[in-house]
Amino acid sequence: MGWIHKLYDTYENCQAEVGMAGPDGQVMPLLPIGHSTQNAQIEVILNGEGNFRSAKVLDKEETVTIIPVTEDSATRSSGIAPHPLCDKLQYVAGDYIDYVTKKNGREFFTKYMEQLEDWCGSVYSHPKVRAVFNYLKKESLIGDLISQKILVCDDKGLLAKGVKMGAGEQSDAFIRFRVETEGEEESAVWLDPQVYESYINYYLSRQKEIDLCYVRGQTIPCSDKHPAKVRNTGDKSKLISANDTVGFTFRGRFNDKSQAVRVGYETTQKGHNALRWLIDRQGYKNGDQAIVAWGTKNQFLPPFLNDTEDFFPEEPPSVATEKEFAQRLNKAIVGYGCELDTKAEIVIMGLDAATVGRLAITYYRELDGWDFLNRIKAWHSSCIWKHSYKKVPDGFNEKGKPNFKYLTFIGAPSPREITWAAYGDKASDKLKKATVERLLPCIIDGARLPYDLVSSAVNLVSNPLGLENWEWEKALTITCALIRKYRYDKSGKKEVWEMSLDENQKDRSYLFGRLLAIAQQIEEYALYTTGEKRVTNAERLMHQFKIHPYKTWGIIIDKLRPYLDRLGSKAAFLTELLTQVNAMLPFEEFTSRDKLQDSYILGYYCQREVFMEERKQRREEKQKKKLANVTERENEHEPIDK
Amino acid sequence: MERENRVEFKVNGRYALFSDPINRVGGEKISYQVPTYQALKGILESVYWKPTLIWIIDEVRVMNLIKTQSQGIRPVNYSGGNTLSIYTYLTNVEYQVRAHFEWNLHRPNLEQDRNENKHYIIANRMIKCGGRRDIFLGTRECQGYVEPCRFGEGEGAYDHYGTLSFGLMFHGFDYPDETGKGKLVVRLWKAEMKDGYLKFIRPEECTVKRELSAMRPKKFDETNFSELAEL
Repeated sequence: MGWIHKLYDTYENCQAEVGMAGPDGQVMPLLPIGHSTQNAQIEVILNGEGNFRSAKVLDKEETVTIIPVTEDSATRSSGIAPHPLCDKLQYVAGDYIDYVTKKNGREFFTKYMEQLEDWCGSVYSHPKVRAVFNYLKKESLIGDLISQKILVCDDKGLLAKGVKMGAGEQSDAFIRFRVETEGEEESAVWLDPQVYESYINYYLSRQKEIDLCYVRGQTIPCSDKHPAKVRNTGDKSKLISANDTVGFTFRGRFNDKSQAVRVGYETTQKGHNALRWLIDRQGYKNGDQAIVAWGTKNQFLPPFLNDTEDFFPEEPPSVATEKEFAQRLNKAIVGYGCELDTKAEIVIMGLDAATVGRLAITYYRELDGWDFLNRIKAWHSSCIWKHSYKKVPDGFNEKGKPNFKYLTFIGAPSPREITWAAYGDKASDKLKKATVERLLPCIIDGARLPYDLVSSAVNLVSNPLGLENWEWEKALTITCALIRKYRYDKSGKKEVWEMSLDENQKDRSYLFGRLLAIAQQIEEYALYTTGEKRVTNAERLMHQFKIHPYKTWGIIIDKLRPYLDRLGSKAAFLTELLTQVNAMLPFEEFTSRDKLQDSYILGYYCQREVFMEERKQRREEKQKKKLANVTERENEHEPIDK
Repeated sequence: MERENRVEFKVNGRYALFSDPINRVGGEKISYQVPTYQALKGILESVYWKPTLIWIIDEVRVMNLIKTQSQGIRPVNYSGGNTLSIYTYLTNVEYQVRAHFEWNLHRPNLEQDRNENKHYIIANRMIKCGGRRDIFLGTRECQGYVEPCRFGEGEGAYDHYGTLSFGLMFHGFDYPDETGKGKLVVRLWKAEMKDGYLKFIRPEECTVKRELSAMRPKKFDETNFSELAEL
């Protein structure tokens, strides 16, 4: 089904959400049709008869207002096109020209009042709207606002210039109304569902042009003006527009845009409102790019563009094995699956704009619920490694500021992190967007990981000196995940590379990787014994080593000599390991001039991980011993204290 | 017409763009997931066509997984210069098509050309050699290639997939020289694919139609049409 039809269905299924703001008020509500949002600066409070009660300036957090719009007013740029109810001062204030000098100043108000009168005179009118109309007829709004000290006059009695209200001048302030009537709880005009309904019915009854809607296949009122502001409130790009006066987009057999395609007013309104709401609520935004996945019945979906850890509702176990991870993933997927019924329809849509005015759909897929979950699961169980770069909030410190701790987890990194690992953080926005887009089919369609991405990450990691230490550690585990995924998919053989050291692995690159890690360990150990801190030769020469392993290995071994001498018998275990691994490499492979495959990173990582694990254990044992000593001593003192 | 003159062929290409009219008018083209009736008819007309006959597409089979790829494009403006757009193409497509021809009864002056065997044999020969004119999948920049095949042969990516509904889709245009009425009409239909097979309804079975404009059929007479005997 087409994207707009799916969105239309979603809107129909989510009718209950219309006009409901999220719990924190931050998320934009699903707008009723014929409505849009605006930031208001002033709130005018009236009573049921349309008499002025008071007014107030709005705080920054409460400015967002749902307002009814006409097709013209929603897309107005220059020219006069009043909104039906709430608008700027120059439209709603009859005494605007008394305070601001502007050519044709009166015309704005006249047009606005004509429009509002029509609504109030129709059978669909609403008492609150009539109250607003009755008040505005008095043409005393600015005077009232000045007497409330909300607007400021200069010495000539005009509105003072240079007084800011929100982002703009005070004379540009946007007004919203509140009508307080006895016995009614909701006084806000912009939150009243009955007012929405009144306007929708009125507006639909005024629609004349009836034509075939290409989405729903019915003859209904149609519209040529489609909503913008899809990705955010400042977004001017439109998904549907007609552009043939400049571009060669349809001319030929059609005379004008209305021959090329027609879309119903309700269809486009509902479709766009749903999309806007979905992007705001659960979309992934990356600069201009927005990607959103949703169930047409408003089901809860896993955040598929995050890393695996975000899937799980509960805290991870402190030490997890791959098997435990698989169980957890299964459980989470089943959990999400329970939310979806068998006929759940999932849509994934990516949006991007090449120019300011037009929005393009760059990715579109429809899947059934389980298909979607299975594909996501396939990605999150094959592109995995043990990561420890993720920061999570961990309580508060004594100053009340949030604390963070690093989380070690097994899982797939997010596309954002993969981009970072492959191109560093200086990559251009274009490249970042393109990379996320290239990763989408890998996640959703099970496509193979593009190799250039993997090799770029391997190259970046092969130069440890180019990165900060934490950056490099992070890039290393992500690269491992990428290599593992690539190898898994390659030629359908489904190779699985273990996350722990595989001592029987005979792969040349893997063994060379292990050798490098051992050399690094020896040098680090020697430096540690004398309290020195500097970069090891293994790290320094890593990139060279990748290209000319045999030649560079000679250099590394040469430089290792003094450190081995320094360590003496302490290095016995490490030298033994070195020979052992070296012996696993056949002579021809050892001396070959071929450069190393990406799997050397895996060998390097796994071997290094073993050393780090040993170090950690040693440290823990020492700590334990220390503790034991302390308690022993305390025990000795015990009798005296008594 | 004595028998159903059925032809079967396969068409494939690296890219395809059967544009959805809703997005096309703005200039940011996006492809439908499956070819439209009119696109396939156009492909077959490029392979072989005479005003004597009308090609009717019966069925199409989608062989490869539906995958898309978006590309940044620099389309040309009327006023000169370029703009920027993003087009979304289908990639790596292969379709098996089954179609047949019927006489165009609105061309009585070509009655003597209604030789079933002749057209049938030429059509098959043209499929074998890849068509008379070049083939494109939807839009001009998507080159396609035609080969003979047995419809339903081989393994398709959607063989046991079940039904996939595409909603309301463009079906094709009713041109005046095939309907005998002096107007251009657009046809829409609800497309549904079963296990990779998409059975098209016949043009006259489409119920969702919209009249676009008046149009006169093209004339074929002695001035632009020659018969074999004259050569």
